[in-house]
Amino acid sequence: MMKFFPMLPLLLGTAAMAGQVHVGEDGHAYNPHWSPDGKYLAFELNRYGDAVDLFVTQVTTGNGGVPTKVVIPGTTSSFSGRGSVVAHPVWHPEGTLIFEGSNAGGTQRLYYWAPGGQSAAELLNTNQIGGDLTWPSLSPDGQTLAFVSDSAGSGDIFLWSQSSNQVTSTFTSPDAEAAPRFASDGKTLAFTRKNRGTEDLFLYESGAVKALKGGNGDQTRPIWVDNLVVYFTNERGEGHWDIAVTDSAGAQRTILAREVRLPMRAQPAISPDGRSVVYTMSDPEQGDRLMVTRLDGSKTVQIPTNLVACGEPDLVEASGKSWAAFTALPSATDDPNAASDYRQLYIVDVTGKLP
Amino acid sequence: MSPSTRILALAILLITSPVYAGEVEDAEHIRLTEEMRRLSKRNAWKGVEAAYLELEVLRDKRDVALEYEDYWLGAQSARAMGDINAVYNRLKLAAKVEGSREVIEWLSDLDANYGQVDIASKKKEDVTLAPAAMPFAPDQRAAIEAAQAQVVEEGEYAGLLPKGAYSFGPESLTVVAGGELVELLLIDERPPKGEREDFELAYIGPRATIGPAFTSAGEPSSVSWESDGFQPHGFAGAGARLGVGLEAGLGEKLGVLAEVGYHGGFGSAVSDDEIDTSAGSPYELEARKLNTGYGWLAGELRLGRLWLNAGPIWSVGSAYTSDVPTADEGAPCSNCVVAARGTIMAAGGAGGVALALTDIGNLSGALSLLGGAQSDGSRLYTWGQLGFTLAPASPKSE
Repeated sequence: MMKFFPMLPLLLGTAAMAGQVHVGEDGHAYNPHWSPDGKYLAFELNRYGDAVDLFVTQVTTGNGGVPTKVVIPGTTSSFSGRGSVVAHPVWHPEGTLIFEGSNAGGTQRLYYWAPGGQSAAELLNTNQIGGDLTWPSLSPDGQTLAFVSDSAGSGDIFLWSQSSNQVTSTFTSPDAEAAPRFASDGKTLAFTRKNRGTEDLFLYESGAVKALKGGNGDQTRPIWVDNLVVYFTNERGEGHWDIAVTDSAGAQRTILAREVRLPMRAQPAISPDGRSVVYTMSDPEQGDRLMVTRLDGSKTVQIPTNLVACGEPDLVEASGKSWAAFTALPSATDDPNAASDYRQLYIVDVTGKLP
Repeated sequence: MSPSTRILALAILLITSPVYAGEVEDAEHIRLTEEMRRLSKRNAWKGVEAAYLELEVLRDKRDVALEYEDYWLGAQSARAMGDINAVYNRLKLAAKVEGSREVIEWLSDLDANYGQVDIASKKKEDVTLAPAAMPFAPDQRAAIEAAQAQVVEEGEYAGLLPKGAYSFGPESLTVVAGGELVELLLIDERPPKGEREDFELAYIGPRATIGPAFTSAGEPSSVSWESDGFQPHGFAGAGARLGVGLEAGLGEKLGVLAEVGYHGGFGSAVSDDEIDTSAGSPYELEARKLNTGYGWLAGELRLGRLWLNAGPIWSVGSAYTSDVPTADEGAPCSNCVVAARGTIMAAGGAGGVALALTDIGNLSGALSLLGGAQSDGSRLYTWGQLGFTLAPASPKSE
C-alpha cells in the first residue's frame, strides 16, 4: 500500500546562521557525521581523482575547531597519503571512529581512530576476514559490527562481535549486498541487494533473509527508526530520488519527500528525537534550505540557510540543543568574497525549528 | 703496477674504507625503513616488526641513529603485535627525535587509557586474568590478550593494561589510567584450623630400589643343636635387595613410603677342611643362604636433593645353613656336619640416605645407601645396601 501526502502543511522558517568549518585544504566536503555526544564531527574531503581524506573537528557550541586529518597506516600527517581513500565514518558509542580506508591501489579495509588519541589502525586483520571491507555499521550498543566483504564473492555481510573478537558470516548469496543497518534490537539487519540490476531492500532476521521492498529503480541506504525503515528510492526514474518509509513487514509504505538530493554515501538523516527525516532538495531553486518532514508525514518545515546547493545533512543533540551539519556552496549573491568552487562544511543551530 | 701506484692505491683504500663501512650501514638503514614503509601500507605488521627489530640491532650494535619514522612505524607494529609496553617505549623514543603532535597525542592517549600493573601468582593452581568487559579498541584488546597469555605462561605480568576492572584468579583489581601502580601477588594461604579441606599431596608416585646388599645373620643368644630349638652359628654373605612401592609427599619436604621386596644373602658352605672326611662325605653341602620377602614403611625427609628415610621393617622367608659343632656345644655328634633349613620371621628398623641425581619424567633417580637391623628373637640380622632408587620427584620450588 502506498500513501501520498499531497497537501503537506509546509512551514517556512527564518534563515538560520550557519557557521562554516574551515578545513584549510581544497576539496569538496561531504558526508558529515556527528559523534553520539555531539562533540566531534567527522567529514570527508573529496579531491576527485586524487584522494578522499577524512577529517574530524571538535565542535563547541556550534563552532568547529581546526579539523584533524585522519591518516591510515603507511603515512603520517607529515607525509600525507596521496591517492588514499579514507571515508565512510561511523561512530562507536564509546567515541571511536570506524571508517573505510585504502592506500593508493590497495585493499579497502576498516580502520579505527579516536579523537585526540593514537594514529588510525586496522580494525580487523586479514586473518579475521579478507577482501575489501566496506559499509561498516554498528549495533546500537556497539557490541556488533556489520560490514560487507567481497572475500567470498561479490559482497556478503559479515558480523564482528566485540566480546568474542570473532567474525561470522551471516549468509551467502551470488548477489552483491550493501548498506547493512541494525534495528534497535541489535540483531535484525536491513540491507540492500543488487537484484536484477537494481537495488532492493531486504531484512536479515533470526538467521533468515526476506525481501522488504523492491520494484522499479533502486531502494537503498536503509536506516531504522524504531520498527520503521527509512530509505532512498528512485523508483520514478533515474535521478529522481525520493525518501520513503516502511514498516518492517513491508506492508505500509509512504513516500515522505520527492526530488531530494541524494547524499554521497549517507543514509537518510534522522532528527535526534527520531520523529523526522532531514534532507535537502535536488532542485537548485530549493537548494538553499534544509527540509524536515515528520515520519508520519504530518508536517514539513524548511530551514533556510542563505547558502547554495545544500546537501548531506546530519543532526545531533548536544548540550540541550539540536545541531545540523551539512555541506553547501557559499552564496556568492550574499557574500561575493565567500564564493568557492568547493562545497564547504557548515553547522547550524536548529533548536526549536524541527517539527 | 709501479710501487708509487701501489702506495697510492693503498692510501685510497685506507681512506675510503671507513666511509664505505658507514655507507653500508646507512644503506641498510634506508632499506629497512623503506621496507617498513612499504609493508605498513599493506598492514603487514609482522614484517614491519621484524624490520624494526633489525633496525634496533643496527642502532645498538652499529651506532646507527634511528629516525622519527622508524620509531613511529615501530610503535604501530608493536601495537599490532599487542605489545603495548613496546608501543609506549618506541613512542617515547620517537618523541625524543621529534615531538610531533601525533606522537604526543598517542602518548597522551596511552596515559589516558592505560595504567601500570604488576601482578603475579604463586598459587599451585593456574590463575587467569580477565577483564570485566572486553574493550572495543583492538589495541586495547590485543594488550589484554598479550597480558593474559603471559599470565598463563609465566604466572605474572608487569606493564600496561587498559583501564578498567579485572579479575585475577579469585581477586579483583581496578586499573586506573595514569594512576598508581597496581600490585597484586596471589599466594596459597594456609587456611585456619577446621577449614583445611582441600589437602593435596605435594607429590605421589611409584618407588623402586635395586642394588647389591651385604647381610649378616649374627650369633644366636645361645647356640643350640637340639632339633626342636636349632640355633646354629651366625653367617654372613653378599646378595641383593629389590623393592617396589609407593611414595607420597605430605608436604614439600616430608613424605611417607611403603615398599615390599626381596632380600637375599648368600654365604659359603662348610669347607672340607672343617670336617673329618675320613669316613667320606655324608652328602653334598649347599652354601648358606637367606631368602626373604620384606615390607617396609618409612617416613622421608627431603632436604633438596638429599633424602633421609627411616622406619620399621618386617621380613619373612627361609634360610639354609650348615655348621660343624664343637665338642663343648652339646651337639649330638662332634666333627660332624649339621645342616638345616628353617623359616625366619624378623622385625626391626631400616633407613637410609639418598642423593637425587637426575629427573626421569615425574620421577627422580637417586643413589641410595640403606641399612637395617632386624631380630627374630634369637639373633640380630644386620644388612647394608648400595642401590639405585627411583621415586617421585619433589615439586619444583617457586
